[in-house]
Amino acid sequence: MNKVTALLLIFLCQQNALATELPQTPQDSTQDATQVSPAGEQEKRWDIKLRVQEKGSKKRLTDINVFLLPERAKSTTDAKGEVNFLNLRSGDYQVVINLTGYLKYEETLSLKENLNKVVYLEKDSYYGFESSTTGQLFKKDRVQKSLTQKEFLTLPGSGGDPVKAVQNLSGVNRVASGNSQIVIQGSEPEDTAYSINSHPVPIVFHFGGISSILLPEATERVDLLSAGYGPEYSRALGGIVNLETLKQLPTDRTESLVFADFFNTGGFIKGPAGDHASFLVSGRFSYISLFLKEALKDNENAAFTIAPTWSDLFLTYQTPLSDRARTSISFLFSSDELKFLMDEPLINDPSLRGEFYQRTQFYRIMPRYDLDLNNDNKWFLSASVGKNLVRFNAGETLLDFDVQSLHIRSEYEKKIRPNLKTTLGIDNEYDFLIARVNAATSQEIGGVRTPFDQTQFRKVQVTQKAPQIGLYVKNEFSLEQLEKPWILYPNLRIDHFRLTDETYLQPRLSADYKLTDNSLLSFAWGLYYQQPEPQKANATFGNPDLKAQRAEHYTVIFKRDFLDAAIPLESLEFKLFYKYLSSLVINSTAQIEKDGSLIFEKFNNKGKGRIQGAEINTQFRTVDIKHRLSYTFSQSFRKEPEKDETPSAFDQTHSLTLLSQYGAGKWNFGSRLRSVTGSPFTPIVGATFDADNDSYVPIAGEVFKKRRKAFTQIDVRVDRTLVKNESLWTWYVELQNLLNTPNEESYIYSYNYKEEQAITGLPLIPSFGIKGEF
Amino acid sequence: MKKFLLIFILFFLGACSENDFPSVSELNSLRILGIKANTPELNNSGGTVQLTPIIADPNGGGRNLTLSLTHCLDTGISQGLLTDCPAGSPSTSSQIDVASLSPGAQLFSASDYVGALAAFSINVPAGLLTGRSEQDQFNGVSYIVLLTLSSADGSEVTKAFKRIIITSRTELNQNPQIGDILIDNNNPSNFPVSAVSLITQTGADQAESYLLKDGDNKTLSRTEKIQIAWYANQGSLSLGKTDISQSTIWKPGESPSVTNKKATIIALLFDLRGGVDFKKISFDP
Repeated sequence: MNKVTALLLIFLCQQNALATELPQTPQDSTQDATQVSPAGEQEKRWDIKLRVQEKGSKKRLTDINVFLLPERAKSTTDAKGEVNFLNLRSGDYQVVINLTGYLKYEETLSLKENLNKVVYLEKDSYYGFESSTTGQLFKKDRVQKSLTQKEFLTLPGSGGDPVKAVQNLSGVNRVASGNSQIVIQGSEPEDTAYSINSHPVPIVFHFGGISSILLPEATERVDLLSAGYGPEYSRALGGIVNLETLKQLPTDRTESLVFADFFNTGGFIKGPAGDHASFLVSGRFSYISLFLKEALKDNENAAFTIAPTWSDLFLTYQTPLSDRARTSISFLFSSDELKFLMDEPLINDPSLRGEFYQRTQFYRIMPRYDLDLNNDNKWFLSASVGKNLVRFNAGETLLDFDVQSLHIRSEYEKKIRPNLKTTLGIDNEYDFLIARVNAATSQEIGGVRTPFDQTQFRKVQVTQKAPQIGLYVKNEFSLEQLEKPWILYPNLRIDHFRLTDETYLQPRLSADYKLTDNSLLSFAWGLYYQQPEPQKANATFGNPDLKAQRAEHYTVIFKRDFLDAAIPLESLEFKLFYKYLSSLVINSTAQIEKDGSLIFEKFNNKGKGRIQGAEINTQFRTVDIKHRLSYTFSQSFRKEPEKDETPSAFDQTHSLTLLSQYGAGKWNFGSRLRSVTGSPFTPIVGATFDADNDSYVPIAGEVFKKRRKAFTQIDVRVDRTLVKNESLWTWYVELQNLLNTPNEESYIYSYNYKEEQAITGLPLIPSFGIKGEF
Repeated sequence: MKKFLLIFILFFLGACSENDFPSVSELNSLRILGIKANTPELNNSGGTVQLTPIIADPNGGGRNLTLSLTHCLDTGISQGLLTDCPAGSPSTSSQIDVASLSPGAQLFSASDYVGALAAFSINVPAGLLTGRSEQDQFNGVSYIVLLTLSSADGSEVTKAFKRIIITSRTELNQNPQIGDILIDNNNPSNFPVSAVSLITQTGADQAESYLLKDGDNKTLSRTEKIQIAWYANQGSLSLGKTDISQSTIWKPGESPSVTNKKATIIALLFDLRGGVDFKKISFDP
């Protein structure tokens, strides 16, 4: 009998080794039960009820085969992950489940009565790159690169954070440690727009760029849109970073997670809310402030009143209204705050002294309604209502912004013909700004900032309504029916900026040429406009006559996946991009006549620029180690009237990131190598003593003439997962800057700018964390 | 660990970093510490302004100094955008032998190189507000005086500028008045042998209130922020800049009787809109 069982098992294993194909011999479990239970037997019969769940996550596994030996019975789990074997005699039975991606499950059950049991299948590996190519998962926009939750949670070098993972992608410039902005393809930091569920938000990172404003486990994916992006977005010359929150929440079980690491702690709970609805609550709170307060306890010159603290909260409730309609409402809150007292003014700017306070808080309430009218017509309406509170004060200098924000986005998608799909959309933003600004004036030339001139101290209170109205039409026209391998995307966007009272038509055209089943060539061209920053368009501090800035993007992309080929290379993406910038807002010292009076122009729209480059993204494998290589070559220049063209602040010629990962069962080893050309900076060639402000005014040399040393850093990380039946525990140890490379991030100067010293990035930092999922 | 955390937060704040830079309050080279105008502000009719540079040349040994000056309407000098009066702009230049400013000057003896030079005058032209916006006329435009102080052999050169604010306001800014320097709350007598606190006697140093106009020509009120800059030619100061009611700790170096060199502490009070005053104390060898 044992021999027969063994042979059967071997047979079943072979059948299920690559996929869960149904074996032909056994029959459905109910029929089997009849077969194995000859009629007329007097002995008692029992039932076995099994529920199959993934070990640790408790996820119910549906549509998988469960075998019962020696009865040769087979049944498939239903939508609840359950399976029944009925009418069995007393005795020993062996349950066998052999599912790809999981360890083989075998257990002998001694049946003496009806049995209900939960069976836990353990994954054979908890780590590893996704095999899919970024950017091809979501075909909404060819220039869009997207990282799914599984990708950014396991990508080395980003600590599981979605936005930090984006910084590893090609086309994203490196910013100095502690900088919480994303710079895309050599643009300026303010040329990147951030959004959550396609609704704009003021920041995407908490204080110092340590973590994004949404818990990674509550984030479904992160999108990076760069040169040539489509008509759904606008108002950003550089690109867009969009976080999408989880859309598929469990309706059959409740899941929760808690974590703690060096900086913060948090968690989520998600699950059913009633019969069909579901919910998610996630949050995070930092406690690094406790360490910082301790660290600065004995510091004579700076004392924290509020050490850097950040927190965020995200709630969402989703419910289907019918088979075709569903609705959701979400709430997002983010807060960053810090306050400290400086006994002595900053050495290079004595106006900055006393109490420093910074607060960035915002919340959004985001209702959404989706309706699938039929298979060819879809419509959604989504809104975001909220408030931004941004306050910065240093001594008497005060920037206090209170923005009430309403953003409405709606799309109607219609398949007009089998080869033609059209989408009409609106993207309207209504901001009501109340600003109080008490500040002296300051100028910046090539990143060299002059101290605030207290003799030119100004106070303003501004109330401003500056709606930005956006309408777009998006088309997808396939020529495949004409046996031509083209898909054309003739798109158009219209934006109206109330601040500058301008309306712009922005054609955005793209096309795909299918070279083979596995390779694609894409082209994109488009116009983009972005209104000037409100402070630069202010009558007191800037120039109210400023107009919107303009960019023209060109992109060619070649994509090829090699998943069908038996070679180490899995995917390759090669991109060329070019951006021509015009009407850029630049500083001006000119005096102009306005309304019969001579005034300083302060800013004008006479700046131009060009950015060009190439990107390579590839995934490949060496033995069992998977690699993701991103390389960017780029040049970024700016031009002011009657001056030579100069590099921009983010002209980083070469940028290379190599991520490597080796997953072995419950162990994961990851590394990141990053090497980037040093950023340009403007040398300071002297200084003049300002006898009214008691400070030295630096004299800038040739703009962005010098470069910092190249940045190189290696990070390594080890993760270990402990799997219990109904919980998963993961701990990690990460060593950032393994080689302790003293990378130059910036320079500080003596009071008279005669001496300079490089500020280096963070030294070798060990960090650790632990996460529990229940 | 503590050091790492400190680096971490300082990185965050971008405020400062550990460095070996000379202290701003340490007088060890030729410097201009302040420029006092008898009238920090003028009306549109212009006029003569007397300027008194406060300087330090602690290692000069009584050498001759030359003062070059250029003055013109501000077209970006105060914003660090230009280093000189632009070519073609109405400006005036001259050069002064410092010794000629005060024959038999009390300041430039071999033992004391910290203090005020004798005053000199410049003429500010009238009508500088003509054609300017209402906001500019009220808040003021800057007439810049650029000074270059050089040693005779050219080995040390230092530059400074001073604004004369031309405004239509009727109440013009006045220089603040600094009180006496107190050592441990007493008038100084003997050279201290250990660390002492320095503060200026309060009283006549009250901040003025004045009016500003914003871009919509609304009038707003503001009060000056008074700041004191401390300098010493020996020893070290815990704070180089203080508020009016804040003290700084001076750790004196060796006694003047040992070094055979005068020890000087000088405090300059700025109202940060053009007004300045100063006081100094010295301990003879």
